Amino acid sequence: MKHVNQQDLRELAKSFSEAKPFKHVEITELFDSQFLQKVTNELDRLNFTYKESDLFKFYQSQSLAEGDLPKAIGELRELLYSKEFVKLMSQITGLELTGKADLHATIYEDTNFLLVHDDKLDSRKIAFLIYLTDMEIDEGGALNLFENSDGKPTEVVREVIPKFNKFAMFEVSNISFHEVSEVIVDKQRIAIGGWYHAK
Amino acid sequence: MLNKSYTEENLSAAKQFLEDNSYVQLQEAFSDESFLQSIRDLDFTENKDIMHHCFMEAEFVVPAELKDMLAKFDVSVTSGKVFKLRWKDYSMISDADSALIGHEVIIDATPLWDENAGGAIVYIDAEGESIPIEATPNSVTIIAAKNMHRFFQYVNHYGDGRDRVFVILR
Repeated sequence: MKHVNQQDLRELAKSFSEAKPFKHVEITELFDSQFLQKVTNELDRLNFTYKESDLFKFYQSQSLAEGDLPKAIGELRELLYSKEFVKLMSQITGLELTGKADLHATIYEDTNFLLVHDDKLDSRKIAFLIYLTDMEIDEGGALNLFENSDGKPTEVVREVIPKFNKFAMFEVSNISFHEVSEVIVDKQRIAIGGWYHAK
Repeated sequence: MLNKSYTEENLSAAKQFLEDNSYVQLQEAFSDESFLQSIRDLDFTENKDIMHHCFMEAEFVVPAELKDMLAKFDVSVTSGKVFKLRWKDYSMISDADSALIGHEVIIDATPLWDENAGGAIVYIDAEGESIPIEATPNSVTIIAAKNMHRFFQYVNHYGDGRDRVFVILR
């Protein structure tokens, strides 16, 4: 993981707290790219399940929060659960977080999507994603953040475009309305993500 | 209007099929394309509630001939609404939605549809068992809903430039 100095930390915390339409931040090249490429190369050793409902259509891996994992994916889990990393997340967000996050990999293919929702469930506090592939702005797969009026989503005002080794996170709240736009090309949008919980 | 090949005998067999199953579909239901065209030509308005649905809709007056045909299935309908789904349209099930009980009738007026485009009308029960009614132009589908919820499957980019049009009668 790249070193985040105090100046970087202050800027990330400011960016997170002042972000619109709700608290979020994107960090590029947070991880060592060669390490993340090894993680990507191991994805075919995970078990992905096709999931479809009124709300979504995509492929999701087994939970990566427990059990044996391929070497690099296991190392990524250890990193995300480490005191150092959780402290970094807490410093950026100003939130007290537990060390163990929900964790899984997702693959969105042509026509796959996730409609608007807020992610609120139990004690989820921070949603995060580590993108493992690149998408162009006109290819879909973007994390779209919605403005709200009286607690209801109105329009997309921020698009997070997936890029390899981009880390994105947002605060889960009553107004954290977001979607993953439909992938409209023959390409895979792959990410590892999950939720940190409040202490 | 109704296809004359649906004789009393055929309709009786279809009624029996409905009683044995959760739904029955009459294909090539209308001999007169102008009836389906008149549905597509209705004055639609957009109805959008991002957390629940996004589609076009129009009111529909149930023709007496159709009511008579449905009566042979012991199905009585009093109201109808026409839906038009375009690329990115959908509906979702929300906690506030009441479960459907009784018959729903779908008249499919979709002119042309790509089978990969989504847009199915999906009925789902409490156990998660679902009945997806895919686009079948010129068909009438009768569903016997027993504590089911309904949603419109998201229309993906293969539906771009096309309209998925159907009437739902209750």
